[in-house]
Amino acid sequence: MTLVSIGDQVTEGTYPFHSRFRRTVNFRCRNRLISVVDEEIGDGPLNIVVRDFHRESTCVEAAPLIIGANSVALGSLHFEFTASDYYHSDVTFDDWDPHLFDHNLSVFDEELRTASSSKSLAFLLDEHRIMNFRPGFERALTDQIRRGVHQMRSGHLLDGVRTLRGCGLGLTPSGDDFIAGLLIGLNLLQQLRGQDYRKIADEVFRTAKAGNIFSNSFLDLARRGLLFGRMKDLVLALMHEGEEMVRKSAARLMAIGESSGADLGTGFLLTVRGEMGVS
Amino acid sequence: MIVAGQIRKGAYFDSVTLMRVGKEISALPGVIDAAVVMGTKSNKAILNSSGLLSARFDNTGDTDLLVAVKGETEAAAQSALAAVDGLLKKTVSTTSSGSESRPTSLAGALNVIPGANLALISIAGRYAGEEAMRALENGLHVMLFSDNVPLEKEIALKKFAQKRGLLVMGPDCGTAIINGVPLAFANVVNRGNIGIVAAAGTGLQEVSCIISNAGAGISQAIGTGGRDVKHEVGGIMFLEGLKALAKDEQTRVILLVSKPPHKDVLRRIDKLAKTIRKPIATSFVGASTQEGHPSTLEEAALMAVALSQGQPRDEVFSRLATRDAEISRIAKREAAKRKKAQKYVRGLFSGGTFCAEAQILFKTLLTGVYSNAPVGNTKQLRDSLVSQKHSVIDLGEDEFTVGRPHPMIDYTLRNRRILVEAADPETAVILLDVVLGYGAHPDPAAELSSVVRQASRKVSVVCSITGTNQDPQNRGRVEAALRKAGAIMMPSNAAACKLAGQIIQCLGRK
Repeated sequence: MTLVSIGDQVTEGTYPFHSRFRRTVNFRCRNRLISVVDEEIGDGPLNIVVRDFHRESTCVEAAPLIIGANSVALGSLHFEFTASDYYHSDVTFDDWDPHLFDHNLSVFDEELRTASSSKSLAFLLDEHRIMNFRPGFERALTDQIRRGVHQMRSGHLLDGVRTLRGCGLGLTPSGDDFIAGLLIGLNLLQQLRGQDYRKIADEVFRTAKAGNIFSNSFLDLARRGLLFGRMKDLVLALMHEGEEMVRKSAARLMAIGESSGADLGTGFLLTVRGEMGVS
Repeated sequence: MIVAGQIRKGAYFDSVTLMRVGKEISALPGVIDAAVVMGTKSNKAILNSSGLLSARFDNTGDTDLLVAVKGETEAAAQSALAAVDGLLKKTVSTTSSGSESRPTSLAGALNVIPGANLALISIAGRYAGEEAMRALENGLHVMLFSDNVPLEKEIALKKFAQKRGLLVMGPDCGTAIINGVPLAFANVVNRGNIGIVAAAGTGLQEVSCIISNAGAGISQAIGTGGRDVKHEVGGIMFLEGLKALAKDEQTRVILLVSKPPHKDVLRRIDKLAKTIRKPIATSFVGASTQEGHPSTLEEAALMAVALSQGQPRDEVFSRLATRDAEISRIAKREAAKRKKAQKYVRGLFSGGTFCAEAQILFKTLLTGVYSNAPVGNTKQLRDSLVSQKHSVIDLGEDEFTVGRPHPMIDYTLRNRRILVEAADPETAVILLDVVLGYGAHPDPAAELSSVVRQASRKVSVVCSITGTNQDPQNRGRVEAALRKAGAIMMPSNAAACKLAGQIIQCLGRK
């Protein structure tokens, strides 16, 4: 087993075990989670990526994660790391081509409409996709999502956040994924437009925060513009790369969870296109 | 048509799993609609609007998994709910989901970890004794975190354990470190060759942290509970702990920590200690000490470090003398900032041992010291909620903790008291301890900074931290935040008490 990378937000300390999944073991760090993950999950601001991790993960459940100045200890496992092993989660760029960016956004839009999970929030981009949702609970879910997004589009951003938060299935419900995409989009808009959206982002985060540590951790990072590897790749591709790279990055993002990546991508796309009522 | 619901607390599943399970339940015969979602407010609203909300979901929260089924008949709905377990298991094995599994009894825990040799028991005191006996009968050492265990039960447990060569740490044992594993309220300290037996919880935490911060380490730290060294119990486990460390190959130096044991118990400890060939340092807080022997937890811890590293004992005292000179300098500086009416120290402690140590150190520095937990010459406070002259308060005493969390976990009460004391024109110094580690408040700096900032505008706030940089809260980070807020940070409770006392002495000379 070898350490592949360590997120730049992982700090020294001892963190108790929180939960374990096939590719991830989570440790509680106040109101956030530090995760030891395999390469398939990949880089993240709070991720420690380990090669062949899953084969031995069963023996570490009860052990705390101990992060030293340049070492990681987990049960009987011990890894050393250096500055070059850090994954840097922020995105900055000096120049960009608005035409290329607009074109790439339309490529990403097309990918979401045509290639995302049938149950993703991409129905917000293409009404026909609503047919993929069963009458009953699933349709009620889409109604709630539409209501929240409509509130945002009408200038009532925080009301929309209230409607969307915690809405949907899984560890990070679709509504929370959408809000995380919105926060990442706000951060990018801040750089593109040269405006300060930090106050809005903080308000959105405070409103969205609830009792789910998975979502809270994720939203907090998004608010601060700290991106996991697949999202960072997509943003960089949108800014600087050609169509093929955008499609590849979009596919990798949309492969997260049943619909999580696509839900986040939808929130991000609508925000950077200026449709979320943020002037 | 009938709606049936099921709640699973603390179960985490990703959307892939829940989507598949929801779909499979919906396809079962007689099922009209189904959903498997986390119990967020929004999801409950959606369940409601789709006719799937069950009254059982009323008190659920974000971390509860809700399974809702709308069936043509009661039987169909119930049969669908019964299938959920199997569907979740099947889906989890093919997706990236998982969930926590926690045994609910001693027997269950032993099934999960058949080789376990220690049980940590933290249940209501009236049941804890029986559970501890069951653990001993299963050949397990016991750490009994619970308090309010009857004295007779404690004695019976300890005698039973003694016969079988087992340890009973507690009742009311808040901390221990066994083979490098911190138990209950414990800190993340270096492994090393110093073994500790302690009948004082925060005392154990203080010495283990000082040892670790000085670059040495702990082999074992055995807590006994404060009552063990009283006459009635007779120090049964303190003596057993000492014997265990004498035999322990990892332990080269032994450190004993307690409030003063009963004189008979002390005699037995002395007698046993003379038969042990390993160096022993002691800190019996408040007991009379001979010249050249430690009188504070800090001195005892540093003495143990010196012994473990083969350094001369005198070096410890000379290093502390240099540090104490610095304390005198700070005391003069702080006294110069205070007004004429300001003349009293108010110590607000979360650790009982620290409160006792403060009283012992103040004995030579101050007159007119009051406490809700008096030691030695200290007078009893008339009302624990109202300070008199120099007051040192143990906020961990029952009068403050019945019906509320311990002050190491919940800072509300102490924060309020800090502001009250700071507003008193006669207060010159507020003295605080902050205990880090497992079980303690996860972010004490956030809790304390604002009140420290307010208080330090009027009085000197002197503070010590019991913890290490490896603790979940990170000592360095907490220290920097409190210093920034205006607190004067000292490396130990003893140093903080000396500074507080000397500020008052300087004020008297003004």
